[in-house]
Amino acid sequence: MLTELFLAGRYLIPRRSAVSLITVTSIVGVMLGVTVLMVVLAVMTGFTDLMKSKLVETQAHFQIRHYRYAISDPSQIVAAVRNAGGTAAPVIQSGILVQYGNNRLDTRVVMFGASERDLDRHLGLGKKLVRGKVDLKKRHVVISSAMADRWGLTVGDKLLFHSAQKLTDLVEFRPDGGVALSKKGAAYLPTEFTIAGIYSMGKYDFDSTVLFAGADDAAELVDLPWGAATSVFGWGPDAFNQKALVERIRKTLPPGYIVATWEESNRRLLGVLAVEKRMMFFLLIFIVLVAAFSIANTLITSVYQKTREIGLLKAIGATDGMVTRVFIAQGFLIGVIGSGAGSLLGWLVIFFRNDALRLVSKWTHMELFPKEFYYFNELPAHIVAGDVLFIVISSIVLCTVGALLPALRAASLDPARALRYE
Amino acid sequence: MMKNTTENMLEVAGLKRSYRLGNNVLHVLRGVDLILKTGEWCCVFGASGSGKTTFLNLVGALEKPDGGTIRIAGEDISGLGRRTAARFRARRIGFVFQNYQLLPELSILENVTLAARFGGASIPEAGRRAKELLAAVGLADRLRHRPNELSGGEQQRAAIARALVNSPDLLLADEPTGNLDSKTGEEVIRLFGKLRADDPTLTILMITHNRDLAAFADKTVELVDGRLK
Repeated sequence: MLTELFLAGRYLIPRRSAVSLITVTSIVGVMLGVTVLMVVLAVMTGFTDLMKSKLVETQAHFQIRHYRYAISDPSQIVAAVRNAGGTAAPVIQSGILVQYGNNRLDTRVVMFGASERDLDRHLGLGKKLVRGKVDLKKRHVVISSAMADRWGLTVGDKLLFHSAQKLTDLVEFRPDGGVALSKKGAAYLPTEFTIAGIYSMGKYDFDSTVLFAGADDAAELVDLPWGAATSVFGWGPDAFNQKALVERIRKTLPPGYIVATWEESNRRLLGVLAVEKRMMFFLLIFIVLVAAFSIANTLITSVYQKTREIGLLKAIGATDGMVTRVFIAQGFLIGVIGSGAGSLLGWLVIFFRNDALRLVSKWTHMELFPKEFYYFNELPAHIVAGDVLFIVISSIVLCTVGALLPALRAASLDPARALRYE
Repeated sequence: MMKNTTENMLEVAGLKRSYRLGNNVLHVLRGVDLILKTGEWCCVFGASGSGKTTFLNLVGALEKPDGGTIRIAGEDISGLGRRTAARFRARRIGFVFQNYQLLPELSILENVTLAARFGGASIPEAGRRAKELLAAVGLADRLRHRPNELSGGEQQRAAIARALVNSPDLLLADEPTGNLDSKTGEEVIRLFGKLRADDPTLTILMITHNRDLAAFADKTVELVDGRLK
């Protein structure tokens, strides 16, 4: 095989003909394909990692709730989580209607009711504060900077909260199917809250919907008894490796309780990200496939150009297998050199990606990743060794397979005819 | 390498070969018989298109005959498969062509070494033999040169070195002086003579239309109408 590799190398880098230029073009084709694949997959992985870290930052590692009822005594659940090796906090989570400004209504708001200590400890609310303070005493809330901008309000301003529960209590169905004002609803008034602080978690979905209130206020708004919670938020030592902990908790909980990890709660988003990455690989591998076709073309041309030489090789004793290996080795070498150079170029592009983006932004006067949507100023990227290995192996295999047809054509040549070829 | 020293190195009997050209069949060889003793030098003359190269290709196991037998050192090669024929050519036959047929991408040392590798020699052994033979043909100082950097005579000498690197039983030469001027051609023929003097078992079958070469040969035959006379 050494002899075949030696010959393949010499055919790839001849000193006297334009074939070397064709070889360089083939290698560049593979190199660009590998570079694009590597950069795109690294950015996709980096983006997924960033999304996951943002999800973990703004959510509990897992949530426990009863499949039907609110949790009347969350302290038992909190204790079960602690015994299993995690930490937990009872939370009242409910959609509310926010009335602000000149009788305008925002229907997209979710209220998290919990103690200041838990919010600060688990969500790091204190560190995420941009104005005011985390002061969730009676009738005080912490809203997001996105809400503050949307509503045109700031620290110290007032808001009215309408409880969805109390609004539904306003009306009742009559026995004849009609709707009437209920007796208990007649006394309902929205609750006034003062903005104590403004936070920014750096995650668009979260910031545009979630505000924080004290546990007692939240319980009152959703009509829960004192001390009850809609769910218990839990955290383990490692959000990305908590299978065993969750299993332990599941075993100790009374029947009717559901434990949903952050991955399960965001299965759809994470699934989309994973599918996107696979699709990008599938689509971009076509670049390498095209490069492989170009290699096949180059080698087919080479076989015709070298027909007499192939005849000579056979005349002096090269078997069909040796000739096949010489041409397959050319495809293999192009694949190895192209994917090696492509990996290196890909690494350089990823390393200098943000400098390049800044230049493009400067030239085009466009913000490529608006912060209000993405919450990152720099393009994330994470090179996964397994991804690079997969790209390199796929490229080498495609290039080698691309050389198969010309190799078989070369091997099938009749030596006597090939020697006479003009 | 050990060589076969049977009395008859080449025995050709009733050799036939024809080609189909559209609806016509062209009978090139119609029953060729030839016997060459070990160490004999035979020149085959013939007009253009008389079938000399076809005869050489058949003896060199590059083609299969339609009929008849070819024995080299007692071994029938007329029915060899492609792989076995390739192995046989590598170890037992040396080819010298009119237009030298050296691989242009390789130096002459690499050209000769490659043939030795095909013959089964290890890399160091192949290199050693190639250097030795290139020195024997007077190219010791041109080892790293590529064919296009050499004159026609030098290229043909390198091709002869390549043909002999596996100590073949039979050296087949197809118009070896055809592309050379008369002086260089004579030098090449004298080289054949010198090599045979060094190795008296070397059997040479040379195809040519140059009648002057008859003086160097032990035996001359002429291919006329598909038969040897």
